[in-house]
Amino acid sequence: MHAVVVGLGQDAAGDDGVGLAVARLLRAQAPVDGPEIRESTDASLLLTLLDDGRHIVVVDAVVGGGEPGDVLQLSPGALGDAITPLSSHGVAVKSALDLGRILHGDGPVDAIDLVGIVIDRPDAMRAGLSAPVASAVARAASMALRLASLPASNPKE
Amino acid sequence: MATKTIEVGTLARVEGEGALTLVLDGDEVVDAKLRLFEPPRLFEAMLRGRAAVEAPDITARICGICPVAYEMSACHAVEDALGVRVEGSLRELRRLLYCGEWIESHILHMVMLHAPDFCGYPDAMTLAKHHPERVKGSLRVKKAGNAIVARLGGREIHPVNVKVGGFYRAPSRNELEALLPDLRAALEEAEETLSWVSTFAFPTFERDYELVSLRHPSEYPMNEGRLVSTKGLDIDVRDYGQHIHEEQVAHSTALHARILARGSYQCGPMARFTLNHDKLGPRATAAAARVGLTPDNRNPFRMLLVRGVETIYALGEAIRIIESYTPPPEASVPLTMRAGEGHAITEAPRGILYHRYRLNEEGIIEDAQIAPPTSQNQRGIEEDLLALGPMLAKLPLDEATRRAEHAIRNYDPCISCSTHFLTLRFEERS
Repeated sequence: MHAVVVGLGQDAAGDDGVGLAVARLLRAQAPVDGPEIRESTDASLLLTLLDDGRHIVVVDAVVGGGEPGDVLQLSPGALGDAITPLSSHGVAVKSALDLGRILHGDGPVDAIDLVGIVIDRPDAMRAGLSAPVASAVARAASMALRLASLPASNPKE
Repeated sequence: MATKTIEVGTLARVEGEGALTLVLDGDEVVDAKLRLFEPPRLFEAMLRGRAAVEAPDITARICGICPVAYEMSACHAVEDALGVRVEGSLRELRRLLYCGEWIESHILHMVMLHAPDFCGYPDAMTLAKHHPERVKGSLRVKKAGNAIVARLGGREIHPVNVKVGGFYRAPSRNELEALLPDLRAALEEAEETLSWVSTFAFPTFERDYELVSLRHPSEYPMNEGRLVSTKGLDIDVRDYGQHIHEEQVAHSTALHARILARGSYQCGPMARFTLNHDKLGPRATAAAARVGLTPDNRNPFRMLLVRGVETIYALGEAIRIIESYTPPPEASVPLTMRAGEGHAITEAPRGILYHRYRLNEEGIIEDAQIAPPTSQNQRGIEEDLLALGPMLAKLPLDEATRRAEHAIRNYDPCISCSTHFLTLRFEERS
């Protein structure tokens, strides 16, 4: 079963839309036999993908952990500690992963790969990415594609 | 007599912000205000000067949970202004798209948002610890609904394939048939979910509501029908404004709606079921009977069961539409711009959604009105809380808070995105 790359974010919240921008770039450029590309404003999508047993690569904006435009490879355990996930999705990434741990155990959740693009802060009701964050889209897409081609990073089971 | 004020603080939510104030005099609630203080979003003003064909995409942005409802009401209202009818397979595809939204919205609310209230859990996380299989099952049902919206709409949230006159692209038969296995499995899962929630203890509470919904001569209503009520309303949707008025209230940025000369009304699942139970078809009808749901139900807490029945109906209807689907010759019908006014009401998961547009000769929107179900139900929610007063007055503070939240969530308002959204403060004064 192919891996799935999930771009999360909100177009109307400025740099929070960077996960979606990465997904769109991948959809335009990814090889035909490459990973499935999904985009969503709602991290609850991750729960159904966990139920399917897919190798999941999440691409999302993060606040902290670097300068705007930095691209970070993260593990699910990093969320809520040093890196704060954004909450403008229907279900925040951290909440979805917490629920995923309850429903599926730690192993499948810890096997999720996260690509975080550092942003300054999300803006309400502003479309488009700032220059530093826009410049990170291609790098983040490349990292997501590479992770999707590998076995999951943190399998515990 | 001491007066007690239950002040509910900030409601932290994704789709809106609000609060609740209850003033009790003895065991009577003398004032109830559900205060929605999310800033006005000004969509009606934003639509003025825009092309009518843009209305579905613009209004879909009002809500991430029910964008299909906004797209459908916008399309039908603009088509009414232009004198256009969408029939045959295109009409069926619209109904299929609406089924997808009902499925995902209803199951999310039933299990993740409302079930914790009945089970005495603070949130969905705790529910998942105690009932993981039910939560997993509900997510599979939601996935089946999402898949319909994604396949027909181009993506799961804020679909982009809907247009005035039909769709930008109609799916092939194979594309739709690929959805069938998950829909059939979801139908079985939805039956089990309904059986599970039917075991909950439902508070004893009834009111004499005026229930309002669409009614169609041959189908359970989604996109079309006359507007009817349990107290004699029976009007063309174009006459909505002559019978229902919206008015500003000081404590809320949402307009309150009322039926002229009568007052509040309730729209949503209980209204649809009461006024259209004869159109549910055999499987959903049997499901309703199995859980003891009858059209004379006036207990809003039992709307949970109605959502379960409607989920079963929507899954069965989606399967029926796909099995009989023949792709349309064209993905949309042609449009000719003209001046006019158009009206439409469709049935969003939470109730009737009214759109009205006045267009000029070039098809530019000169005036727009949108009445979402949550604002139509807001006055009724406050009246429910007034009527619950004697029950709330007897409860400890934390339990009264939970029961007030529970009562609000009966309506699945867009303000209930969090399952624990009230912070209560008691004030007592002589």
